[in-house]
Amino acid sequence: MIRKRIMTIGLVLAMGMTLAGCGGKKSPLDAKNPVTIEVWNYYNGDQLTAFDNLVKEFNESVGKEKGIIVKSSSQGSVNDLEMNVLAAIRGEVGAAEVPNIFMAYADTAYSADQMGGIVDLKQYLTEEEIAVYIDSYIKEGDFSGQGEIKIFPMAKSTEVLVLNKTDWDTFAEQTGARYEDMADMEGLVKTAQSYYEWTDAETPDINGDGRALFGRDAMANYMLIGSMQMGTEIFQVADGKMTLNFDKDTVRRLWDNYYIPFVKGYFAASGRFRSDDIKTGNVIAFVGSSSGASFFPDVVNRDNQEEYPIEMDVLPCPGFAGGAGYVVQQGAGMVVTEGSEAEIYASVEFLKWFTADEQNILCSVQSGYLPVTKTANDKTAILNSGAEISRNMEKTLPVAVDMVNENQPYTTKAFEQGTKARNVLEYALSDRAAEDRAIVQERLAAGQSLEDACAEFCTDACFDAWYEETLARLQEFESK
Amino acid sequence: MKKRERTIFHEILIPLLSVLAFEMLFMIGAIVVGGVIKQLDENATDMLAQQTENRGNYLLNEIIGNWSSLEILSEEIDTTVQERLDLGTLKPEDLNENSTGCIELLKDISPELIDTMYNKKISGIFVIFNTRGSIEAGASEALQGIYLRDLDPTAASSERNADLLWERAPVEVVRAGYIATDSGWKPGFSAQDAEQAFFNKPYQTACADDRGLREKDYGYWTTQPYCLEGDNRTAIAYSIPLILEDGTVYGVLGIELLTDYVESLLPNSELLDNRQGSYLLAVDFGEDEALTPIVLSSNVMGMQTVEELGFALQEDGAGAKDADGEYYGAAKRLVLYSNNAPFDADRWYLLGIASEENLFAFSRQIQQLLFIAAALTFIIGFVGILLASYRLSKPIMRLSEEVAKAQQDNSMPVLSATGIREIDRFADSISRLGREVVESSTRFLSIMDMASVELAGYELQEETDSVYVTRNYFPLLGVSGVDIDRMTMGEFLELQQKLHQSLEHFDAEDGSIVYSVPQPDGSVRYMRSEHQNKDGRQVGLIEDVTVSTLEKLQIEQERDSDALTKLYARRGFKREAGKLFLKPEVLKHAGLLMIDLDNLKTTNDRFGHKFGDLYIQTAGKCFVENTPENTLCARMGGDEFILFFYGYDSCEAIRERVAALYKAIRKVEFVLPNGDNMGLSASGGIAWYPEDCDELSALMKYADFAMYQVKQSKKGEYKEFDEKLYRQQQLQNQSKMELHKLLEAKDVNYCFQPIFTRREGALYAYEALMRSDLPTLLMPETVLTLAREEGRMHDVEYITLFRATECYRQLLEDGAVPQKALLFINSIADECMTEEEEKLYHELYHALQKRIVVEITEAEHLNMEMVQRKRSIENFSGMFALDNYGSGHGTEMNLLELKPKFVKVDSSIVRDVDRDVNKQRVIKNLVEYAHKQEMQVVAVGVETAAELETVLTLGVDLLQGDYLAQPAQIPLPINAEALAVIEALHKKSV
Repeated sequence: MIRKRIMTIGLVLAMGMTLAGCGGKKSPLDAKNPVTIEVWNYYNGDQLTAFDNLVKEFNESVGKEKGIIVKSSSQGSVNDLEMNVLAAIRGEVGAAEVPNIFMAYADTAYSADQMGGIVDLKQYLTEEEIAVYIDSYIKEGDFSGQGEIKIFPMAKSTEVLVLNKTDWDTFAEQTGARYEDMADMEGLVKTAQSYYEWTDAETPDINGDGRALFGRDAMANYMLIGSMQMGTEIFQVADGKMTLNFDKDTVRRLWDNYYIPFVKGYFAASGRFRSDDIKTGNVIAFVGSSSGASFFPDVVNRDNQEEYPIEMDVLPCPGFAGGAGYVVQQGAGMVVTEGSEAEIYASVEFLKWFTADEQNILCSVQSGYLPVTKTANDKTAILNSGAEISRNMEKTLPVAVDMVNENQPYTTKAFEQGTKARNVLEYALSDRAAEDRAIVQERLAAGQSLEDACAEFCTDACFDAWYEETLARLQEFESK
Repeated sequence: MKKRERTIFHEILIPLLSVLAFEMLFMIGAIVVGGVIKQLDENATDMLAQQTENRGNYLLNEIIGNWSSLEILSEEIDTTVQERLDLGTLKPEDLNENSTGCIELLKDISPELIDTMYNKKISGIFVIFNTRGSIEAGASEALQGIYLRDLDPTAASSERNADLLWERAPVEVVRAGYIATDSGWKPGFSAQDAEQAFFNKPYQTACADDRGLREKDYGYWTTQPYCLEGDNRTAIAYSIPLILEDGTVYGVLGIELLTDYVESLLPNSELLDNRQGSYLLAVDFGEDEALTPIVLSSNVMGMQTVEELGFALQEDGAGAKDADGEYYGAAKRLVLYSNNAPFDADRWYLLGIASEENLFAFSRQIQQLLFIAAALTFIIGFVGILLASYRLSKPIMRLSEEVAKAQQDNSMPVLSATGIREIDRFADSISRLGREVVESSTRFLSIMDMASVELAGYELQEETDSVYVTRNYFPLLGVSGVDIDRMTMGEFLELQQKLHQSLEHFDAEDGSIVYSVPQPDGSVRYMRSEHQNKDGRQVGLIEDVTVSTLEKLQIEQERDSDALTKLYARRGFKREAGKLFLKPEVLKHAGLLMIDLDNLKTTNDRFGHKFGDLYIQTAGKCFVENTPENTLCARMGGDEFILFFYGYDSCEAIRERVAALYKAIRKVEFVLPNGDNMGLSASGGIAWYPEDCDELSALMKYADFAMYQVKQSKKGEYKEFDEKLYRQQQLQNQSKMELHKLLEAKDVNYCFQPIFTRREGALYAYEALMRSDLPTLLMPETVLTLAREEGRMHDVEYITLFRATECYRQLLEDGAVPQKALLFINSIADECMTEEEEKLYHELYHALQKRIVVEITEAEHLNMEMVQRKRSIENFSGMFALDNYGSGHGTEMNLLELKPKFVKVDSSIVRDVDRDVNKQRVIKNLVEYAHKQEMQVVAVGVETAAELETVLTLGVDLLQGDYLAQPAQIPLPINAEALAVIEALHKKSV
């Protein structure tokens, strides 16, 4: 009797197990024989630390349990990563093996997708799973417009205005400047001029040694978002084809609000990032990615001898007065490449885990990137998450989250050679500004007045020449 | 010893299990002894070592050929610094401060550093200045310099160096370039930085060293990963001091490799298939075998921090093991420094590590598989054998049980089917056989019952110690009351043996034994017993053969006894006497009296056989009546009887008996048919046992001999055996036999004695003398005497002529005798060859016939008829010689009648002739007479020189004798001494 009963139980159990196996997609993973997946990112500093910490946590918990080992490696910069990924996909001589996951902007992902070998993640995610992510982030990977997901939203950012509050406060105290003055670009320029003049006045005997208030990273964003705010999408993309809208008036306004203050020394840029300019005391405010908040220094080394602590503050990124409420949506997503079923499965598992609210917020507060799910991208959620949050982040994230939530995040749609086209925008204006500023500085050093020194550059002709040149360069990328 | 009995189950199971066990042993042995596992392990280790070697070589190539070759860069920096110092735009102390000179210098050399960094694909590069000489511990001066980092060293150089970060650089330098500061960026190197080995070690060493080595020689690889202040990445570095021409050490130049990057250069996945391998870069400071870990590239050992890894080199330096022995590392030595360089003592190694479990996973798997296979084989084999043995043995065991049960119940077993064809057939046959046996035995028993003779039988089975005896077996043998149901084989055999000894029995002709079983009524029944031993089974049968035996005994009785006298016949006597002779103690002294009735023949002839029979009957009756009981009386046939007296203490007692017998015999009288009275007359001879002989046949012969002695002398008497007489008779008989043999075989050899002339002693003739080798016939005289008695004289004559001539012919042929010599052959006077013999003789020896002298021995009367016949033999020489002249017979007559050519003086006359004048006279007279009659005189038997001299003097013509030459088969020459005598005399006479 008893034996019979045991057999029955065994049979039921076996059937149950079989049924359970049929019910879900059977995991190709084996904890005893783990799958190693390679993840390429372009993170540095705290972001890399945050990312690596999470990877480590994943490997030690879920990864160990499910048989996934994630190896992450930073490829340095976004561009390096793109180059390496494309080289790997093309199978160039000396290229590394294609990673299972790589971090990429839409353009890079698009290029990679054109070459094939990118996995549409939609088949690995349920509708519910997809719905938790912010729509615009998910859409970024829909190259075909058919609802495919070629980019997994990972860590997004937008631009904020970062301020060396310590030095600002001194300036504000003495000049009565207010944050509100910097609410739009025109206001910002005015404030910068005021700051330049205020600092120049510190040493009346030295002509033209005023300091810049402001610097800007990511000039392409300035151009693209600014243009959008003014109603023109420079790279208008449909079905992967780009139509160029390099509107002269719009561009002129962009020129006037960057090139002119830059040449005059109200704005500045030295070194790689404007955060470096803050560190070296070159500027006291800059627009940069919310994700750059982590690079915001605690001290300023104006020169080797003077190192003093500073406090930072974060303000919404100023737009053009009267413009539409567009904010930049940036930050790369994760692209999963084709591989064995187990590798793809493992990759998706990792990404889902990584973007789950807890991890997502944790990553956010450590790196400055914004959470990608609707529930996590929330001030209250972040602050109440219990995650240890630095002062810089405490300042940055609420502002950035609000910006994303209250405005329309915008990112260029991917198109062929989009990155190169973007790079034209990135450097065309700033390079010219830097060159011309150098001339101005020489002239100032030679004893010319700022007015005189800048006169040559503050002309329509100067703009026209630059415009035509830049337009021509951009038109090369326009789809034929 | 009896083999221990086992069940069939064991019989099947044990050998099969043994085979299985042997197979298992063999299999395991082959695995163990074959060393396959060891070989696999070695292969795995070798592969690991090879991979590590390759990777190590790659790494070494990078280190030596790329990373640590900083000469070009350092020379450039040295030159730049030297130029500026020479120009005065830079003062040595400027290098210690944030001076314009220093900043400009750094700005100017930055591109070179960046280029070098890109070219070398390294993660960092740095230059640090200090001209204050060696730095004391705890000094707080900050140092000037730059430290650049590339987080993606493998990537191509970025546009605008966008992928580089400043770790250390003066503000002015940062602003001047397009390189981002890292979060840990500092405008200069702090005192803490200056403590770092990448600066401290080469700088201090170069400062302290007065050898003035090249910058490169002071090169140092940090042996401990470090973090820059404000940074959390670990790195290792190689740095060389910067030395001016005058020997001033003004800083260090170095390259940095992030440990992450180093890790990426050590792809552990290449080590083992399942990515379970690890690479460890480690250094041995030469103090002990312990390796200080530096960089670990591992997927599996990640849980441990690098510092916790406690690997120690093995003695051969080719491998290393961790403290727990869990991991094994193939070691590849990386020689980073030149000999005797300052940091030469740091011995770097690259270890290719695998846990023993993983490394030998394949062999373990194989091993496991093999052992599982072995175990499964064993289990399956074992269970299979168990089942097979059980299945095979079960039906047989059931059969066995059924048989046992049937035996117990004493019934025919009912055998169930086993399902095994052979066994079923076998069981079936056995059942059928059993039934048949029962049926046939029943049949047999009823047949036995019906048989006219009584039969009984038994069967013994050694194996089962079982006895089967028919109930009537022992009763038939005259034993009743034997419990045959509980009888063991031993008891049966014992009883049988006892019966065999107690019952009279004899062997029948067919090999069986016939027992005579006395019956209570005094009669005897005969039981024939026969048994057979076969395959440990003894089967015996007895049958009542009384009727046939009695018949047979009667027949035998009749054959053994004489019908006429009722005495034993020859055969019966021989048998009975034979029995007695086997028992000397019964015989004691015995006498065998052989009796021959006298006059039976005449009685038969005269009065007919009927009366003869009566005569014999009467004699027989007389013998029986007048001899005591212990006498065997037998009629040997005809008129011959034997009375054998035995069991006496002496011969004397027997003699008395015999004497009494003879007395009785003489008293018996018959009335002949013609009315005359006639007495019984019997001649007898007695031989004594054991005095004369202890053997029956000889005794009979002796008695017979004694009896014949009587027969030949005085009939009606008896005589005892005389051995002497017997022997004599015996000898005579032998001589006769030998003579016959001699004559039959014609095997007589002849010797030849030469006869010499008186003048020169020259050879004249030979006399052929008979020589026989037979023991009793050595002397020719004996032969002649015997031959005459036996009437074989003609044969002797014949042999003498033919054999002597033949021997002589042989000698001639061999050249042993001269051609011309005569041959004297003795011939018997009253014998002559037959015509056929003459013819044959002529045919064979006609060439010799002319030289043959027939020598006739002197006799009282010569048979002239015979002499004439001899003389007339064809081709005969006609020469006679008269032998033995003067021996005493009427010799002159012979001389006259024979007219011989030669007269041979008898040796008795020649003997001592020199001393006997009478003999001399006889010879002298003879010579005188002979010479007148033209006869020649031969002196025979000359034995001395004196005799020779005398006979010569007396005028003898020819000489013969041992003194001159002895007879021999091959004739001898003349004796030299004798010749000398002859010659001397001859000379004298001349």
